[in-house]
Amino acid sequence: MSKKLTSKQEDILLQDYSRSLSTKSNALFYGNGLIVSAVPIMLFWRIHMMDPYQNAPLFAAVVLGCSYLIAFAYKNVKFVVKHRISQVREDAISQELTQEAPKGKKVSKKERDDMLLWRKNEVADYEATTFSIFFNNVIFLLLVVFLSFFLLRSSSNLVNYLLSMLLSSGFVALLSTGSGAGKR
Amino acid sequence: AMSQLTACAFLIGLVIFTCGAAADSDGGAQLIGVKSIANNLIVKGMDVTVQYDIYNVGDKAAMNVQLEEDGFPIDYFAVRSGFQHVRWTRLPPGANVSHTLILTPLQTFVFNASHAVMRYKVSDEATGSTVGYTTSPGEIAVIETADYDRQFSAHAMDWLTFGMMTTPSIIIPFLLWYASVRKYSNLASHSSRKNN
Repeated sequence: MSKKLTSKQEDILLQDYSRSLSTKSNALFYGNGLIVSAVPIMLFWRIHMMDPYQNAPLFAAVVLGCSYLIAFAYKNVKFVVKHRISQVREDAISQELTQEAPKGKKVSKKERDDMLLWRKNEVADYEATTFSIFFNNVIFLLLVVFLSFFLLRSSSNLVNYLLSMLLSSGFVALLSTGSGAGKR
Repeated sequence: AMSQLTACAFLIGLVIFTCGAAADSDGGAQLIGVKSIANNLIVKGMDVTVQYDIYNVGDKAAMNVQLEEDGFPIDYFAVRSGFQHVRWTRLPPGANVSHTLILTPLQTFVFNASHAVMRYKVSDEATGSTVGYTTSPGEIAVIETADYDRQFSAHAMDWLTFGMMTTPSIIIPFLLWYASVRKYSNLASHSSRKNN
């Protein structure tokens, strides 16, 4: 008995409802996580007077840990936001496809539905990715500044750096698991 | 008669003693020295101002007044301005003089700032010098420049640099997201206007 191949629509739906990311998305998330985790080093070096050469192993370890947590937050927020966006954008994308359709050429309903679903997924993916990166970066950086310059200002530099970075990235990761993320 | 003689001798002795005591306090210069550090914080590599004030509270002019400050070792302090050994020819009664010494700490340490020594003649006729001491500021801690900067520097340039470094991570994703939102919001609003 030959195996029934999944339709294009089923592929898109599977991709849409799956948490797994493409290699490109993974690279984007981990790359952004690495950059945003490394930026606060500049504050601790110049303002808290932590020597970057002496503290290089500490900085490297904390940056890697925070990158992982922030990338985790990116994925979760993207997954939640993507579904909301795809629902909201349906009419607009349908309108866009109507405008883009070559005049005179008839498109079957099935092809149009496939295109709509694919385009909806693409737009939702794009907007969710950019929003997730923006949102999580803002929360993380604000928390780092607040913790290191207000709450932990009288602590030693080592404790200040460790706690402000790990608590901020941990909070961002924890926040991303809320609001129904993962529950379908 | 014997008791009267004894009483008289006692009274005379008392008068002589009182006159002698009065004679001792009458005349001669008397100097009071105050040594103070003008800085609230003493930082390695930054100037420290040491102020000396000498007051003559005696009845005569103090002659050949010398102030000797040997309490700042050259291994720990560099003299920026002023002298550690100063001399005034004459300090009239009721007058005062000031001297300022500016130093730069060369190391980070806890230092006991003790008194400076004053030598002077209590009058023109005095043969030997009288030694006096100024007050002592006490223990002072010299802190690192990094600790001082950490507490007091505005770090304006550093914050500006941080802002510029965070801009790509925040502004670029926001602009990309917002451009897409605007595009599809406009499309949606055109579509709803057409349907109406």
